[in-house]
Amino acid sequence: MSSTAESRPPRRSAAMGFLLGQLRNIAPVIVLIAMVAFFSSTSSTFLTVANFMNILSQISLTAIIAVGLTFVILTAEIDLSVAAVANAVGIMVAYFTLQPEYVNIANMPVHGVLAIVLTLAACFAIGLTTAFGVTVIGIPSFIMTLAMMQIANGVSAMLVRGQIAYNFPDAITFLGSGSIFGVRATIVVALVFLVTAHLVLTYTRFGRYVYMVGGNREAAEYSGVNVRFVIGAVLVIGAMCSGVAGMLGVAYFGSAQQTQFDTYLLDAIAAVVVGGTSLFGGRGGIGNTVIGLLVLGVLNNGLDHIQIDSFLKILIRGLILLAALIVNVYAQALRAPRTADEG
Amino acid sequence: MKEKSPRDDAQLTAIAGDGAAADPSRRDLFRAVGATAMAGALFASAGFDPALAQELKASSRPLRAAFSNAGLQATWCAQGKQAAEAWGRLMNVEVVWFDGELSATKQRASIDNMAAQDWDFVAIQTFGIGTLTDPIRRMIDKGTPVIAMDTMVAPEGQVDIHTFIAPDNVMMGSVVTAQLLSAAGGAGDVVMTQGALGHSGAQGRAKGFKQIMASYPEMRLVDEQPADWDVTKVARIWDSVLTQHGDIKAAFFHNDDMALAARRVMDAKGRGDIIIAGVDAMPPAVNAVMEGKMLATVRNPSCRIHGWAVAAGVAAVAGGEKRGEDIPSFILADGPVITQETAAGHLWLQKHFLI
Repeated sequence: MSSTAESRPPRRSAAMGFLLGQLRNIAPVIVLIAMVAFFSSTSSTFLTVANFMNILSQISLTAIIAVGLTFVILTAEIDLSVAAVANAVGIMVAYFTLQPEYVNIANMPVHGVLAIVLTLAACFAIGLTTAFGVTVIGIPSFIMTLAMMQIANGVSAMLVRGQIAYNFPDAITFLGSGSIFGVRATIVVALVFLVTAHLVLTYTRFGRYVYMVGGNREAAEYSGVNVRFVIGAVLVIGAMCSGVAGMLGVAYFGSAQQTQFDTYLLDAIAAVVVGGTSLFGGRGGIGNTVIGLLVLGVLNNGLDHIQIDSFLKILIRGLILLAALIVNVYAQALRAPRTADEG
Repeated sequence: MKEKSPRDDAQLTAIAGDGAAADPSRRDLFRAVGATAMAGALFASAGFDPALAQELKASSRPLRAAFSNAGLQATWCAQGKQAAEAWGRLMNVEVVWFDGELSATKQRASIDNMAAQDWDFVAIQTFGIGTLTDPIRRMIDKGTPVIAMDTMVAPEGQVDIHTFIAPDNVMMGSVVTAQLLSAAGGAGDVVMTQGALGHSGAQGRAKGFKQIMASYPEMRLVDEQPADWDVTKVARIWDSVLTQHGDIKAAFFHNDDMALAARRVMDAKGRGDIIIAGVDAMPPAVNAVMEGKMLATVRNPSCRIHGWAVAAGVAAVAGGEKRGEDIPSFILADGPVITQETAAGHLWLQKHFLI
């Protein structure tokens, strides 16, 4: 009897401790379930297979950008240039493609495969430049990527000069606007990126280094991790993911034009953070990003399925995101003492 | 006191719509008469001869229409929404709004969501040409008439829209420039502050401006930077322009918000003598014209464009009008130049969503 009484409290506290530790992961899932339940009960058109595919399609490009951003944020860095790079790369692939006669852009048409290779090379160069600035020169990533955002916006402006391009290489057009077994190709590409990134972060040495650098940079350095290489690599990965999203994005939207993808910056950061990945690095991952993407996707989609004042939608969206972030911060605060106790 | 007959009730309910009380009072009667008069005024302002307008009437059954324009942050778009809703109430149409939020990606997501639902008709002002083609095609394939407003949804021939209702931006740019350059005396330095270079409206307005400039050889265009519709950029550009050029006589702006922002910079630098003109004729600019702060503005008729879209949708759904047979592929929604003489009357028209 007494031994049972003695054993109960620790078990309860262990369970509570586990729940508190997982609150960061559990809270966004609860938010997601609550939103799905609410929109399903208030709209007859929300809970359908067609609309579910619609949501996946709408978050697919953000997902590709968010994959790169997850790597960057896990190392406690930030990349503010993701949307501008996506825009510039999308315009670049159009620049290397023959445009209709009515498009008044001085471009340089080459074979489709070469256009994709050249564009990816340019994208890699952009990532490398950012990495050089952050890891070699020592510019904080916030400032360096802000500068890169301006440069990428400038490249976009120079190439299209206020015009709109409509043609892209066939492979890009297929991946951006085609379907694979009835599923939009962008969803399949996003899935490939998410799964690959999850495997890299979970099962490779590089993935563990990413967490180490974000969790405790000094400790990582003392452990022999090449911190500058890891940070440089995640910035290049971020640029490449943005570039692929940009290429598919112009085909998805059917045109390439200036400032087209501006909103992807905040959407991608929000998806990563709302999902539970810490802005301070070292905690989170692709699973969290997927939940964050679904929260944002369901929220944006669901608000269009219920009768609500258009002006109110923006406010509601902001309030729900704020609530999710507050939960995220409290989850971290609750976890911190427990981690300290364990230590 | 005369007792009401059931026929009176039925008539009043029919005239005033679902909102009429079951037991109509004198106020209801006035409201019903007012609504009918307003509908008549709307049709008259739209240029319909009553004899020819017999086919255009409110739908006998309630219709649901989805509308989207570039972004409700823009006053022009917000006014358009009010106009569509006002016309919708008169024509028995419930207007459901999908905000473009001044973003091609956000508008695309909204239109994807729109396409996942069923509508009697749809009207869209696209934020980025060519970005909505896929969901619009899906709606057209379902048999939903899609009306394009203000901006082409895609390059010509790519999408089978029901009709395209838009102003002539070249004309707007040229008529207001003609007033401006004439008032400037036909000689001296002039500035054009452009909107976003990729915007088809900005391109048309610049073209109209340059057509008129060509006939004034003694006027010199000293600056034509784009300010991207952004008033903070306008202030920065005009700080520099006024420093570089001391003898500017006149300035043309691709919209009124930019014109009014530049006016403040000019006044702060003691250059209130520069005469300015803009486009859109939204109420603050019309008031500025009345007060003499602006020479003129030309109306980009938001209410006509959005209101006529409701009318075209009702004519298609309730009246059976077919694309390419009963309605032309393009309808010009024109707007006048607003000067001090016409400003007051114009404000009244806008107040009632008539232009």
